[in-house]
Amino acid sequence: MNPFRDTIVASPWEYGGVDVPAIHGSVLDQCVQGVEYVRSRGRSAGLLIHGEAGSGKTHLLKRLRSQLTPAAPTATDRRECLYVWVRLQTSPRMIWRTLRRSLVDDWFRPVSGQRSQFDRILFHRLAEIRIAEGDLEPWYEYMRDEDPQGLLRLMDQIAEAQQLDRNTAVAFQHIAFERHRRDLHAWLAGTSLPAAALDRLEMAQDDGTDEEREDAAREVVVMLCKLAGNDLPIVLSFDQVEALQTTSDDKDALFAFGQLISTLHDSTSNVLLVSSVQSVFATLLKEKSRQADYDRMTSLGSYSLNPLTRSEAEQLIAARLSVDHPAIPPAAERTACWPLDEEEFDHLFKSGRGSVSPRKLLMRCAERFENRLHGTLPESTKPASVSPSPEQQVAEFLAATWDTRLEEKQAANTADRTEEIIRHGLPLLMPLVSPTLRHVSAETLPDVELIFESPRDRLGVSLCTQSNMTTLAKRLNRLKGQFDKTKLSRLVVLRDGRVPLSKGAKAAAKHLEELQQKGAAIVYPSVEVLAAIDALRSLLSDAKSGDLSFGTEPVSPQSVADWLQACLAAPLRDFVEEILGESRVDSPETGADTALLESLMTLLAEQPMLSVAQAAEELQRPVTEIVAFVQRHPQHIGLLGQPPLLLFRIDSNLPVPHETV
Amino acid sequence: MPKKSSLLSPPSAEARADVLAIVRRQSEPIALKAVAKLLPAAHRMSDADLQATVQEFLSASQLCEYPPKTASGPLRYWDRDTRWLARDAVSHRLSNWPEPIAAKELATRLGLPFKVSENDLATILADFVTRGLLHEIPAATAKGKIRYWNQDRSEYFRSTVLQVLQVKGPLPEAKLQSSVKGITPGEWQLVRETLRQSRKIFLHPSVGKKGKAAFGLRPPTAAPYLKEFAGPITAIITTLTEAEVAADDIRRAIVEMVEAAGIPFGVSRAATSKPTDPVGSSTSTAPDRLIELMMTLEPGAARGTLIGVRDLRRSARMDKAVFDAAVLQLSRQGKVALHWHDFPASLTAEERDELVTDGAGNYYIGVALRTVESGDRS
Repeated sequence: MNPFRDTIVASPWEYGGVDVPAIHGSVLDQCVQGVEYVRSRGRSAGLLIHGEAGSGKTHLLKRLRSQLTPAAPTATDRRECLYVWVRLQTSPRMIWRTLRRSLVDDWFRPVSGQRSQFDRILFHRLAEIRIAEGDLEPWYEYMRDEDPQGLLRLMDQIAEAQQLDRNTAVAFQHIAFERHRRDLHAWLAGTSLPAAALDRLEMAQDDGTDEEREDAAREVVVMLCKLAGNDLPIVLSFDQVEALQTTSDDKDALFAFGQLISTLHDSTSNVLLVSSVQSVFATLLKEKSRQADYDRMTSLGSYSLNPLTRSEAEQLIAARLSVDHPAIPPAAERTACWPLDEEEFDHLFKSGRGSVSPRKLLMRCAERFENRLHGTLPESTKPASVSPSPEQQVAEFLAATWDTRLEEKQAANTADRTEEIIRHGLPLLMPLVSPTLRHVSAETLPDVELIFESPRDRLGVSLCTQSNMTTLAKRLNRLKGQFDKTKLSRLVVLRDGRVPLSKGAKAAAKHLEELQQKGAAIVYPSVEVLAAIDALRSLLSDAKSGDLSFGTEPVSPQSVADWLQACLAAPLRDFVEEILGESRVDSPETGADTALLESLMTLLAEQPMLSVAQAAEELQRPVTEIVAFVQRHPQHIGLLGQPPLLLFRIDSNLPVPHETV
Repeated sequence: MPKKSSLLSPPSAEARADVLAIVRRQSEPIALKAVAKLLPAAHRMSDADLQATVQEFLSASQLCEYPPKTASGPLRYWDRDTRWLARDAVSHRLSNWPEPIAAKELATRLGLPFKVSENDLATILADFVTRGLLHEIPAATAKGKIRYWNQDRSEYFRSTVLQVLQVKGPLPEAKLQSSVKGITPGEWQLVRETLRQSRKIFLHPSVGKKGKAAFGLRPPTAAPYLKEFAGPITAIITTLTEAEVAADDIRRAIVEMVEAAGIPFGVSRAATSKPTDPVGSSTSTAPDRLIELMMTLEPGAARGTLIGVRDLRRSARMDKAVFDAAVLQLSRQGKVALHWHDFPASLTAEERDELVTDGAGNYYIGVALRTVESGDRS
């Protein structure tokens, strides 16, 4: 194992790894002091961290997280705080929903094998009104199991003291009694839940237009911060802010981020906002953000993760060599810069060589370590006929990265992520296939989330993937009023086949049919298409944030876009063509087709495989009609075997290979 | 079909959403009557309902209230805070404005869709002056108003002196000083000496007995000063030639006399002249000036806040080569850390030109002072 290979911290929630406290230690201290400032003053504050690609921004957040999050057993007399990591790979118009989901995911996450951060909040709140006699945890368990009414009264007292709204108070009760954790997690994260789940939770669902759902997410976030209270400061760290921008001159993204920071700064009293960005983006933020927003973003200052000095570089190398490895010579027999030659090390720090970031140094060391281990030639000294051109090498690297990402995204794809994937990913994907399309916004069409304009057409995409049928019906009804040929030349209603219309959803089915009669197209992206869009946006976001490196150099967003354009997977191309109405594959063309497809998917949602005869009986249709229909739509429903034929749900985790050039 | 609201029932959610959308669409604050006219027929509502609806949005901080345009006019509403918009516009406009500007003229150049009142603008400008982001510059004429600039008074006076000399040529000191409005004698002395030391202006000694000393942008030329000796020398050479003194003897005597005065013959001109190359002379002080400027530009500079080189260059007003050399020198000395641009190829030639380059294909976008904790400076 090459001790220098591990150069990217994917998330601050990673555990382990080597750390050199001296590197950027002063910036870490500023963050820790920031937390104490928030705790002692009882007011929120902001801090901006910036550095080059590979300077260790996410690594610093990891150090902050590991220093701040509670790792010891539950105790409320300790100065603890909460941590949230928000990677802004999202649409600016969903920024509050992304924050809400990230916050809730992180607070339900068990920390260091101990209880979750939500549990920590619970104990802190309980300790405020009931001084623990002996251990708090056994007392709490006793109350929960033996005196639930007593615990309920305490929870009511907390809700009253904190002025919690009804939903938050009920949610907190569920946490205290460890009830419905899965549904509660989904509700708090903003996932649309079926009516039955809401009934179980005794909670209402955010309902309304896109803007209203964003407002609702903001209210939930502010309320949850309030729930934590002033003695539990929260570090909200924002990473990959650059990924919010669809294009380099996207001002909406800067505006949305600035507004988010200002609102959190002013509406909460216990939050330290840590924004980490690339140096290039830091100068852009300063120039283009509203002054008021920038002031709040940097109310505790702006700190630079500077390139390494020689001494820091030597310390980093020494730390990486502090592992047992037969190829590493004893410390007395090697120079401080081993495996680099002293000449090469000196050369790195000479002017005119750019600056030396931790990632750049580690990549260089990793390469030299391999050379020393296997006696291979450094890449740069290989004869030209042996090594492929730099462009080919980058293309091969991107192809391999794409395959890995796709596999990860397919494994993690769930219906509740569809909206975020499409909202953020489709504006990145569309120009790759159709460069004349421009992503625009229109406030007069609140239920059409994405609008693309070309010189001839204006195309709208509405995301109708809610699993709550009442919410969906209201949305489809509103959409009918907004679909007008003078405003949109084509409307695409995007559905997720994994969340079909339930049997009782008559109003939603009716509105969907009427929309189709008005000319709207209903499109069902497959799981593999959604996973591929997710992989695409993650690749581009990493490139924009300087987190995608090949060798010692970062790969530019333009290189990734060029490669994607040349090697775009066929299903993605087909999907875009289906959105544009230029598809070779069949979408359901009539209301009756859509209704049949939704009905079949509903049956398959309950029973992933069933006979055609059974489906025909359930739906009261002839077997031949079902078979013919499924054969016309093979991308949505599978057909298997000899008679008796079987229908099956396509949850496809089939690979979506990139095209080779 | 959306239901038509009646006077008895409260406005529907759709109607209220329409009110909000109409106000948000406007390019400036709008009065309630105008909103009512823009509401679609299906969502018409009574004045009281409209007032209540707007009040609700005000309470939720979704709208802001604005004073009437005239004394008897109605209140107006908008979803944006014009004070912050105006503040941004002032900051943006003055960040690269080439010369001081009076508040009245600034108001016309903000490019905002709404009018910024004199009082609001004065408050914004006063705040910027207090925070050191803008500086008050004396009026250009006796009747003129005070002006504002992102450069301080000294910088303004220095640039004015250079401009005057550029237009009018060398001027006697008194005349030059009087053409810089608002400068005090102390400031004048400081400006004059700074410009002389940085070799931006040069003293021209008086020519002849009646002439006055003057200042110019370039060193004086020798010819006017030697002109009065041309007649006597010609007369002496004629006398000596008539007395059959050899021409070589006369030439040797003149050369010896000139060499005795400090001008050696037969040596190249470059070797005898003092260095006047602005790059060479400026780089010796430019790095220190940049450090000072960084501290002035950014209060957090001492603890390592990154300063964009575009901002620094704009404020430094140095020649590109001098500026780049000074920044690189500071980096070599370990006083600053340079942050480079990962993908300079994505920039236009003009954008690249604004960055600092080391000539080896590296372009730097920002500079941060290295703090003591950040390691050694070797």
